[in-house]
Amino acid sequence: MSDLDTRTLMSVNGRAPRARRSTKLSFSDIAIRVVAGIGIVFLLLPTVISIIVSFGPGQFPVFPPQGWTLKWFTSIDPGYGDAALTSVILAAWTAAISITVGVPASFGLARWGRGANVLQTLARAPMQVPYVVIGVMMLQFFVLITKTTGVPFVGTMQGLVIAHCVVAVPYVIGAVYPTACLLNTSLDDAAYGLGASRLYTFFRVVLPSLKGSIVAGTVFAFLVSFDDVPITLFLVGSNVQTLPVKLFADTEFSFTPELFAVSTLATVVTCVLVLILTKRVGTQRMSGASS
Amino acid sequence: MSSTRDTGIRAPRKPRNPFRVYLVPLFILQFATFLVPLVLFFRTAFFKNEGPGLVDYGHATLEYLGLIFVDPYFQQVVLDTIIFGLLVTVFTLLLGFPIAYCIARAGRFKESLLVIVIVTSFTSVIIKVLGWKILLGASGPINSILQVLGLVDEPLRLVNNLFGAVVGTVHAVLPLIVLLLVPVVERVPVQLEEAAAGLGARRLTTYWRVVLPASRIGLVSGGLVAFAYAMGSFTTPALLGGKTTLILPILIRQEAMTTVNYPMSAALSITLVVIVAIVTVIGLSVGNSRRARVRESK
Repeated sequence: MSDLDTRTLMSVNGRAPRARRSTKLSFSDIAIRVVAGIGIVFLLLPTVISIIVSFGPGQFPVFPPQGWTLKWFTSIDPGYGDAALTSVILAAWTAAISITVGVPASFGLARWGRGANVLQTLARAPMQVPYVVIGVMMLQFFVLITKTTGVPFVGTMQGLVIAHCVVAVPYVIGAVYPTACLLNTSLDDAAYGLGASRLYTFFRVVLPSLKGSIVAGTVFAFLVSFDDVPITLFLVGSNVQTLPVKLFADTEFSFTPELFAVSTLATVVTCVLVLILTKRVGTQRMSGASS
Repeated sequence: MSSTRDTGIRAPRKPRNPFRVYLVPLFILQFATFLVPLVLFFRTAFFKNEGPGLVDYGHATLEYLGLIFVDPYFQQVVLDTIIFGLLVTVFTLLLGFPIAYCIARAGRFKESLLVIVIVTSFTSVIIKVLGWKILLGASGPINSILQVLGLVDEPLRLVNNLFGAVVGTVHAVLPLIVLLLVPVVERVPVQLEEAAAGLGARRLTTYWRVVLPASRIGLVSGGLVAFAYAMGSFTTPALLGGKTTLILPILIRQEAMTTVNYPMSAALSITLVVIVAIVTVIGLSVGNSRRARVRESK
């Protein structure tokens, strides 16, 4: 279609349609492709190297490995299992609360009318604050709250869930708000006009049409929580330890093949989750909300 | 206003926005768990530190914010942080734009390439760092290749310094920037490039005079995202930068966890947030300035 347009345009101009992009590559075309190719390799390389290294037999991780073994996977310290379980529970709570708050908010923002964009920016304000700052401020806040009410927050699951929701909700809004803006107003007006209550309309008309982006938002919130180091670092205690923070601490002080085995497992799980989701909701929605 | 009241005819009252209620949970959450903690934390920067973890709220002072301006140690940290942020931004855009351009114009490979970028954007930071530690290590593949090629005699120090921190952070932010730039390039019509070629422009000229200017706003916002990300990044520089890479997020953690000096930590946090905000405002105004637009249309 577009090719045809151009060709007609050019023949009107009295010039033969030359410089078909596929026929001749200039030096700068090749250069940009080479840089892009290097870039893609650059993106994949460290992860691939880590995965390969985790199958090496040596006590000290090296690349290329001097053989192949699964022993690091079978001898993983149970502490990692506990940390992984904590991380999954934490991420699940975070995702659940974030969509409970974020999905109605996205719908409300989409129907706000004038000033919705300003409100949307405000609603996503926590994304503008560095995570380390959020970590320290939550630590100080929790210490203060505990001092006045006696309810413990630092080193507990509830503290971590609250802190993670602060940064996860903006991701849910980022995923759901653009889709909510595309919803046809007349659809829920019709339901409302036909006698459905606002609440019924929201659950039976609005939510089903937002399904794809809600799934995406849930996974974003889950992964933001599951992967977080800088916030969690300030809030973990002797009873509550998450997987990334344990890996972070171990990477800081030691460098063992076991670290590679654990991160390989975690990465495989994340990649499978993301691949399934991308297949379901499409690359466009995945890329739109992740940044 | 008063005349309508006099005539007794009331303008139809605007119906109350029924969608306001959907935002209530969000604003309660953000007020109680974001705004209040943030204000309380920033407030401590203006009060005296009374030993580890203690702040004397009866004693107001500008000492800590002042220190950042006058103390050479803190000046150096702020400067290093900005340099770090700029280096990451430049290299991210230099790599990110070609990738985004090729993906946007890749035809049937586009989806697969996008999937690769999306998956890497969600991959855990820790596994990337572990991979870089192997790759950049003294006996790692990169040093081995350089030595085999005879380019260096002894292994280069590529990790536990600024270089390692920049490489790791560029790698962490690159997928986000590519995903942001792909739709930007997609909006540049192919016909524009073909028209340039039809008018006799070489490819390099087309890239330089047509594609890049048309993507300017996207490049500026991508650069700003990369800069803000780098300035706020902690995990990667902490693990790949070694002890010599002292940037604001790392120092904020040190002040909060090691010396437990909340006022200093808060003062550094304010500095960090303000620098990012200033750069964002400058960047946006440069990106949208009339002069730039005029230059583009010439």
